[in-house]
Amino acid sequence: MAVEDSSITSESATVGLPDTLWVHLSLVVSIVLMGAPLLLALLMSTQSTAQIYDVTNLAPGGYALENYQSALFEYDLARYIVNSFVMSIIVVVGKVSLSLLAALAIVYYDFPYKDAIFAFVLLTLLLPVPVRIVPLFELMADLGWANSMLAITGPYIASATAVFLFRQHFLSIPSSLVETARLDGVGPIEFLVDVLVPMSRGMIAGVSVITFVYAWNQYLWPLIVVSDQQKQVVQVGISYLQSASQAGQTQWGLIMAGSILALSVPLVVLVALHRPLLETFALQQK
Amino acid sequence: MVRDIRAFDDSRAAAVFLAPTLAVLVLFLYYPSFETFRLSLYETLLLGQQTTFVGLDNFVTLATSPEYHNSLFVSFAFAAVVVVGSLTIALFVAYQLYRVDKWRSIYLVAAIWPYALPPAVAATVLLFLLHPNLGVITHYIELIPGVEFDWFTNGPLAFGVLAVVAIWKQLGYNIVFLLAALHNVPESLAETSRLDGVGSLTMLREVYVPLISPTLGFLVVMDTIYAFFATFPLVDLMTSGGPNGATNLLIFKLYRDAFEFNSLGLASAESIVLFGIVSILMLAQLKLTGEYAHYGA
Amino acid sequence: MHGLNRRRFLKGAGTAGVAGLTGLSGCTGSLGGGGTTTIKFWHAMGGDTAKLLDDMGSDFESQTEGIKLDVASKGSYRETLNATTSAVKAGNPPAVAQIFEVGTQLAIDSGAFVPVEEIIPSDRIDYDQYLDSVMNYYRLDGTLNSMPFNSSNPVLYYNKDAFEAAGLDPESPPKTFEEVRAASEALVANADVEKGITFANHSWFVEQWFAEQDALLVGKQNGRAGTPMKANLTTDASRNIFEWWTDMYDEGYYLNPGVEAWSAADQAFLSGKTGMHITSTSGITSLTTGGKENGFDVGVDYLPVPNGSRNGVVIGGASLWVPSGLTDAQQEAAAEFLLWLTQPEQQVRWHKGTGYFPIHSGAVDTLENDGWFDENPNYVTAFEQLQETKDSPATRGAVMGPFLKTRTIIEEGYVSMIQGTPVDDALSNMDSKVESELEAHAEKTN
Repeated sequence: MAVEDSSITSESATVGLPDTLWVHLSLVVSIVLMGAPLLLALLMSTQSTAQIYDVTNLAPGGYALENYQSALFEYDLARYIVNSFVMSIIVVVGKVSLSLLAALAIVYYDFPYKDAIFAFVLLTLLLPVPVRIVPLFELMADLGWANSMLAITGPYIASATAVFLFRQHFLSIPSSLVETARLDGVGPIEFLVDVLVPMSRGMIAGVSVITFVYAWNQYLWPLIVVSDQQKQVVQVGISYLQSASQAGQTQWGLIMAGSILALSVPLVVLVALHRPLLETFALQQK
Repeated sequence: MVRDIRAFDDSRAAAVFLAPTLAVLVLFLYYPSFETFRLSLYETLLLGQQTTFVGLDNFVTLATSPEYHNSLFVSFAFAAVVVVGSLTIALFVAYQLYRVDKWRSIYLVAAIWPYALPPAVAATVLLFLLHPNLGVITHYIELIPGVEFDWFTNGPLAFGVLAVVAIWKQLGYNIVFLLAALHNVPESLAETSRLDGVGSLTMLREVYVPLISPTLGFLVVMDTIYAFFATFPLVDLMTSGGPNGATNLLIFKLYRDAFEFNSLGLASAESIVLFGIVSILMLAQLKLTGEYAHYGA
Repeated sequence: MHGLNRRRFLKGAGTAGVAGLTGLSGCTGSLGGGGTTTIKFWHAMGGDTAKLLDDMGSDFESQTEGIKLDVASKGSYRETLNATTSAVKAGNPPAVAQIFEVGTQLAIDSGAFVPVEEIIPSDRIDYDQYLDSVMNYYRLDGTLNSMPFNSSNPVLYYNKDAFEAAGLDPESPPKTFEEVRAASEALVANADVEKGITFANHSWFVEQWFAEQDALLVGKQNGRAGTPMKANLTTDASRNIFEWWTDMYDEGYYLNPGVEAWSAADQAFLSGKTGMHITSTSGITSLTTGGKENGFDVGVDYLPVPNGSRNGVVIGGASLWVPSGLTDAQQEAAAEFLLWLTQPEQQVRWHKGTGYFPIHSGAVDTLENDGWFDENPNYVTAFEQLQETKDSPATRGAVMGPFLKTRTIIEEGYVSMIQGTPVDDALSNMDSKVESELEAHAEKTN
């Protein structure tokens, strides 16, 4: 921790340690601490069950291929990952498309009760899944959607947050552009596709990352509404691995392999798109 | 609201563009929510095979149930620990990221990755690493003489373990926001308030924290909501609410009452209470910060 | 395993309900072309057991004319129950559903099932050929509601090598609570184990020890003579169990693997942390081989009992139910399937593949004649324990609506004891909790 010392300027906060070095050091320590559980999991995912039960054994075990293969194919994680991926993509595409359209209507049209309708959209923020979980579950049954891709995507493809973000962004687009488009007689869809979308690339990417990660990480709702193992998503799928055992011993190596796999997809998405994500977050705070 | 950029006139077209969003919201958000209100006045047997109107009985049951009081207490205590813990650490890391002179983008990615961490994965990994019998970390913790790290039996310990996992998972989200907020602080403003001869952490406390307090207020609310709702996988995978209710968060109790014990009416009443809690939090947030929207819904 | 693998048990819970509707689009079970009747069989088994059921399903199809059988796993007992009642509600039920024993009263209350005796009247089957101890559990008010299917009960497993190291006779394992304590003492002192014994913190064991003492868990003859309103958790029988169990923990002889932590308990035993273990008979094969792989011999004996009072065990597992709302042809197909499944030949295959008890006396004879029991002496123990059970309301086991909630209350109650609540206080607390659940359920069903 920093020690206050009036004899040193703000350039160096800690006694005897240049400020920049202290920044680097504290970042490295924080990052290592944050990453340690994952690194250990990665390490354990290469060990056999016997090696894992030898608690102090922290050497790579050489069973990586076996564990990952078994998790993916014997325990069907590959299928769950595909399910999760399809679900997340549907939610991202659906949510972005629907929200772009809604924001288009709200920003570029004038119609009665506009404020009321916008408020009606925003108010749904008060209704997270747990507030409506029981009837939503019964609704899925009545619609015949239970246990299907529809059930895990449908309720998520509209969102107050995305509408709000696109609205904010559209409002920041210079109105001269709109005038030009209007004079040229450009239709609304053309305007959306040719003008708004290209100008909103970063925002769309940001919303997509948020949505993708959010959809991918869903657990409670798929757990409840998907009853067929074959159709389950990967988050719930890794809990199936917990029953994986060898001579009565839980195969933690395999479970760790599954966990790493379940994390890898959103991690890649995040790393690839972290710039637009940060920009989106920054915009939200204006 | 800016009104003068109206570009198109046909309000029927606007209706068509809004229709899909409104349809989804009405069908999957508003309708089930109203149903929850209705169901909370009923008692059910086996997934609604038989229902009986019972008025406010379910709420009376909740008000008089020690188990429910315990869950309320545990949930609020949990939220407090998670919010304080996660924001403190995130603030520190974000501030260092903001100040770092080199390798910023590498540090950045290495620090915000938990944003992508699925709660179920966080729970599974730490369940194993902290397992009382075969966890690696447990092994080293128990090298300290007299320490028995048996959180399967020790309630407060289980609560602590769960809080650590919840904090870990939420760090990425908080860092992303705080870093954005720090970058939004005008350089000149920070410069003019720069106090000569103070340590960097004092700078953070005295200068930056007041400047980014709207974001902090927003994150307090978001993290509280997270601690209330999004931590379900942690409880489900790690403690199942135990030992003896020590980690029986409201969301987990709701789930169990509905889908394990088949009391849909009671569970709906619990949903209504949760709705009350979210509403108050959201209102507080709106009062505090006006414009922020809720991420992740 | 007694079905309630912890993960599955809790997990499946959620995945519940509407699963029923999966069936909607598929076979509606109506008469298909060429007079083929399609029926669905929903079960809760996973892994190898599920595979065995698939195989048996196709064998049934090939051995029967005009019936197409779709076998599907719903992943867990609770899910199967919820899925089935939802499907009945939606008018599209499976023809046969596997429901766990504690769901018996719920299934009856739901009104979603037809007693199996109505579907298979006694002129088509000789119910006397089935093991009484198993049939009695599922017979309520004289009516057999469902066909027993996978049945098991708890036994003691012990590490013979550790017994030897501790100076104990590996051929005479402890029979009573006190002997378990003494053996634990010797094991901890002289053998390379951390604790004497482990078993999951599961209400199932408590229920067994009630039965062994000929004590009723709840009122109205364990719920078999009416809707129970009274719990018996503050009785001497109850105290015998919980005081011993708590003392064992306090003295460092019991390894607590956690609530319903079946596999954690197996692991503690197999990895040599304890010298003894109590779990379901369905673990005989896996624990025996697991012990061998870890370098020790596993012995199996009767469930140790309080005060040596041995009245017998309660059957655990699940049975097969036939939902209402089937067409006549489907109901007939369901009857045929159940008849086929309970024949000795299938029962032998089921037992050998899973470790669950064969319930047909003919199957037991076949196994005996084949020398199966000679090769697998551990099964004999399990079997004899079942055969020796004295029929009474206590050993028939409790039947009540809020059984699942009761189990949770009992398990959490034990946790509070080892956390320091005096046993008597915890027991009266548990007792009143269970009673208020019983009352609430009675109100609902009236």
